[in-house]
Amino acid sequence: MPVIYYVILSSLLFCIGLYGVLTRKNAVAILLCIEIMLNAANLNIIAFSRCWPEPARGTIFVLFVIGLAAAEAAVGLAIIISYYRKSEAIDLDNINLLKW
Amino acid sequence: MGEYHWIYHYVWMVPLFPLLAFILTLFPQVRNIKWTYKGAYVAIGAMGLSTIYSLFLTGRVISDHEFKPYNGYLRWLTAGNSSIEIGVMVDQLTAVMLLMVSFVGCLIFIYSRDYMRHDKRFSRFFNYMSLFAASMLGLIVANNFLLLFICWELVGLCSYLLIGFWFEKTSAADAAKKAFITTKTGDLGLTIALMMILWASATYGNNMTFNFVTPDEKGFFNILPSVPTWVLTMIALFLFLGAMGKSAQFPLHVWLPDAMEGPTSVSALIHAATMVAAGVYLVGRCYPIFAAAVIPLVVVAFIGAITAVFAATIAVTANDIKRVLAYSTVSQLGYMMLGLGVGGYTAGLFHLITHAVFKALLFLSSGSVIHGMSGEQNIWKMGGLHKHMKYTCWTFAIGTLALIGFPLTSGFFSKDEILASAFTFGEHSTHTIPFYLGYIPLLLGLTGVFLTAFYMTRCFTLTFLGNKVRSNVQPQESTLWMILPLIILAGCALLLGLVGIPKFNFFHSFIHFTRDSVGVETALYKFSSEQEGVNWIIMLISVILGFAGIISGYAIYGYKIQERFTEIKNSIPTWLRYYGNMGFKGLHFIVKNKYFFDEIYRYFVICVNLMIAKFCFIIDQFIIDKFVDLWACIMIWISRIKRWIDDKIIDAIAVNGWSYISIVSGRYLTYLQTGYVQQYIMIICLGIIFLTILGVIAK
Repeated sequence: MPVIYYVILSSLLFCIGLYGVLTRKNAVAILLCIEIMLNAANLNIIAFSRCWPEPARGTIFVLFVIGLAAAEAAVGLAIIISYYRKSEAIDLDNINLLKW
Repeated sequence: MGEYHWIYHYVWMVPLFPLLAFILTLFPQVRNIKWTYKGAYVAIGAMGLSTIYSLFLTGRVISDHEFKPYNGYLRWLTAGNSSIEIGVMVDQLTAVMLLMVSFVGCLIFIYSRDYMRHDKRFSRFFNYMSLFAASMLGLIVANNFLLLFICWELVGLCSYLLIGFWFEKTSAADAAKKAFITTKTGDLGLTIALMMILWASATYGNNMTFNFVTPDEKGFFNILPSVPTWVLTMIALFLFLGAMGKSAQFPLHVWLPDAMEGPTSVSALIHAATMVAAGVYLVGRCYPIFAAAVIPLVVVAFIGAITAVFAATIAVTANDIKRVLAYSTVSQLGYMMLGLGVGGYTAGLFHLITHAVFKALLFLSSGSVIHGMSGEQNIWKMGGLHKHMKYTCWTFAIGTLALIGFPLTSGFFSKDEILASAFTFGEHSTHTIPFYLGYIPLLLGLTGVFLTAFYMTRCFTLTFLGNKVRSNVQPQESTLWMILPLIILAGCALLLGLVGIPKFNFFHSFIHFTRDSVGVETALYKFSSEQEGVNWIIMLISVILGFAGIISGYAIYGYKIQERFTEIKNSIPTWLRYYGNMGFKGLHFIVKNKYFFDEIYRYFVICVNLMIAKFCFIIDQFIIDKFVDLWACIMIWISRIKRWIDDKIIDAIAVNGWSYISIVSGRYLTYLQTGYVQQYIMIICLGIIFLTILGVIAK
């Protein structure tokens, strides 16, 4: 199958994830969409690694990305939980402490 | 150069010693050293060293049989191929002049140590005198016109400083100015002569030079044969103009009598022995030029003769003892020029040397008289001093006799030689100069002999002879430091004649001018190397005139003056007495006022000068200053405009404007910070898209 199909798929996924990050109100939902974006990037890398003679170049990188995504999700959730402990809502419309 | 004894190579040390004394006495540290007596002994020591050096130098010059002039120089200014050199030249004339100047100068310095000891500017006096001595000695050893001119001007400067030494007196300050300006008028001639010399040496000699002679035959005197006569005449006349200024010839003589405002040592050194001799020395040094162009020599002779008699007549009516001697100096300088002009090179220069000695003697003893009379200078208030001031009286008498030309004194031999040369000139000139006019120098010279004897006897009689002092001052004899130079000079005045005795004229063989130095032979001047015989007739006439002068002087001014005058008056018939009285009073009035020369100069020269000065002042004040003020106003207006620009425009835009922009933009840009993360992410994504589009377009 041509590479372009995979690239289109991964970019579609990325845009869906991006739309979700920009639009959703719930913080956990944003984390989920970030995961979608990361997975889209993974897909892109694997699609391109298929074109190389050596087999495992892209896959190793994807493994790193997955690990990194997991760590970052943990950190994000930790921040959300600590914020939830402070104020009972995690609605992003009300988090504007850096406003002028 | 190697065959010259070392004493020639270091001749430049002779002017150097007084120059060092000048520099040393500038410093208070030197002045305050006890044993230098406020710097006086430094100056005296320096002059003493110069005297000793000159003595040995003269001895060596005399004893060198094959003497050629020594010329040592170094390059000073170069322009392309030609260069101006400075250096020293030693020939017989230089040696004799050095000896005279340093010897007389040394004695005068010794004298001044006591004469000036109460003066509050004592050290400065010796400072100035040392500078003068240095420049005079430098003038003598100079081997080119430029160095001579530099020293000439320096000597004039020192004369100004020393005449105006007591500058608190207005008369002294005025006299200093007068001396400087009058000699400067003569120096104009000298400057023109120098320029002509430079031009002539470049045009006719292919080598631009100021030198007198150089070993490689490039000096000015070497190329004289190839220079046309009219050029030489002009050069010689302008040189003589310079000499007229410095040596107080008629009509530039007016500064010398006024120069007596300075201290007596100054009068003795500068205005009797040395500086006024510089003009005569110049003529003597440039004698080849004068002799090659004959007309200037005739001019020199006539002007010298006129000066000699003119000044002698004024001296007859002078009442200040120093004025008498000043006019006497002018008269004797006239004699020297007369001697040089009639072809008596040796005669004129011999008179220069002897005159220096006895005139310095006369001035110093008159200073002793003034000192002893506590400042009184009018001879009518003196009298009978022979009882109180014996040494001064005897030395003044010896000086007087030498000046008059009393037989067997030095002045006798020198003056007689001049008169003999004048007679020879008259003889030779009957073919070239009509109507026996060539004898005028001789006649004027003989008149001068009579007048000199008359006025000096008058002066001596009124000052020293008689029974009592005509004023209330109690005179006292001077101290040893002042009397010793007098005695030494008196001895020299008597003995110096021995070197110039006509038959055994050692001086003539030493300093003479021969025909082979001149390219042209003329009828008027026959310069021969063998000495002329003694002219007994002229000698007899001059001795008779001298005695006549002495006798008439003593007869009229001897003691019991008033009785004398009444006796003489009563013995003349009435009508003669009446007209004689009027005529005599008229003549006396004119002569006593110095023939109104000062007044003539004031109304015809100084007035013009003042008018020009006032005119220039008015231009300066009303025209040029107005331009300066206008310019200042313009500058002020320009600065006001600039300030307005600066305030209203530049400050508004560049300074306040930027701050306004910063504040306003900041106020509105804060609204960008909303605090919503999603909006931030949105902007990031838009930015990425924008950059990507830009990148694609740029490709």
